[in-house]
Amino acid sequence: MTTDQPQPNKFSPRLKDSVITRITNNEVKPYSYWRFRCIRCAFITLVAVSMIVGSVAVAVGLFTILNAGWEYYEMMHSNSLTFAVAALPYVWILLILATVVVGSAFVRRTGRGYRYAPVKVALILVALSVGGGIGLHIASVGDVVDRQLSVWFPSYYRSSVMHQTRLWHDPAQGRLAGIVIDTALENGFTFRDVENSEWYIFDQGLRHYDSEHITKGQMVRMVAVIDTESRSAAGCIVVPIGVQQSSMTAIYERRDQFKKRIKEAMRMPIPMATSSLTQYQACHALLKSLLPEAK
Amino acid sequence: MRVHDDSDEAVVLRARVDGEAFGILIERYEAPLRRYIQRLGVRNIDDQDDVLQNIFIKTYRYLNSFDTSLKFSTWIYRIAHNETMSWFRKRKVRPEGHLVAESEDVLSLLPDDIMDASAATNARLERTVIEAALEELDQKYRAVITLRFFEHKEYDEISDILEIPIGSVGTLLHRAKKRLADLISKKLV
Repeated sequence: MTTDQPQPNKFSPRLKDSVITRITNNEVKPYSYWRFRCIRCAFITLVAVSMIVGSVAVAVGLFTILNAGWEYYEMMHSNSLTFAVAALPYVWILLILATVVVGSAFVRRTGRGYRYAPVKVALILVALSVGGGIGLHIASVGDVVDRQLSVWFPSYYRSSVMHQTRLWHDPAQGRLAGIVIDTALENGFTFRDVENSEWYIFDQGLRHYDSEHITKGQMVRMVAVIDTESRSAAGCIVVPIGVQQSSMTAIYERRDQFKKRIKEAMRMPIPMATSSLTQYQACHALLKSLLPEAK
Repeated sequence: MRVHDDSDEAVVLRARVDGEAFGILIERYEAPLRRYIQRLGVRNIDDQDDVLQNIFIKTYRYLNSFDTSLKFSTWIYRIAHNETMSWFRKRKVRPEGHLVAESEDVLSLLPDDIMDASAATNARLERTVIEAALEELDQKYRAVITLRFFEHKEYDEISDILEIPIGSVGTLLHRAKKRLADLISKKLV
């Protein structure tokens, strides 16, 4: 044993005196009770804020997912899984994860939060955020926040509408998404897509339920036979873009209606001896290729 | 009742307004805390004095943050632990060797399946081996072994001192015992 070994269990007045002297000479005072109360309350508040932000993120995320265009996923992807990967709102998911991580860290700083396993705390926070998020979604908070963010930060925030527009738009696959510019034209209308390119759309291949969506300023998605060189296309199907009732039942209903429409469009006889004959044929061929099961 | 007979918690309440009363807490905790920080690896007596002074000054400053649902001893051990770790970090030193006057306690608590009888007997004969093994043990394992076997703290107290989940105390302790047994076995070969 070393020579500087202290005598255990013996109290040395030297240390007590020097501590008391330091306290007296340096006028050391205990920090105020309220300082600690406030710090503790601040951490509890921060946990609550993290959960609220997490719940809002879940609400907007849910809103975005449900409005991603599941009704028409076969038009965009070969299966729902790849569509889900493309449609997930990653920014909101990252925000939810961030709030859970931050919230868990704050829980550790509140009273005896450290006593609980971090995984358990994180799972509880996820469950509470999801629960709160579902509640907020039902109360349409996701819709409101999504709308407001796109108004406040148009350059930075991609709204749910823009999300579904981006998911749909792919001219190489015969899908256009954008806004109707002018309808007062012969044989068609002009259209500006999400990438700001203008198109002339021939409307002879469209049915009445497509045409009713073609009004100036309306955002639509369409299936069309596209000629990229002339920036023109023959419209086959037009569906509005926008936020709709996004319950699962509503999605299934819209999906069934959409499939019925395609089948109906394919069953309709091609008008004989008309100038639009080729457009009808092209639309039939395109729809068959996009949705073989609708034959 | 004399002040010296009061519970720690009662003395804390008094010390919040009367600095002199804080001296009673120093009297009560200097020796156990000195032993504790020594076991954590602060060997030099001047260093111990420095660390202890910092511990008591910090305790005094934070008296109003003491949560009376905790035991005062648990709270002051937590401060002592954190201050010691902070001292190691500031000094950028590894904890020094331990005094293992009660190393037999540790060995007797090691489970039989980890430490066989012959190894334990040999180890009892060679205290230096245990010292060396403890010295090689990670700081987190050393702290939990010290608190459990030398300071005889309960799991919930260790959880409060180290600010880790109660479940982690058991896991950490199990790993620490296994690691210590491995180290001792290696040294005995």
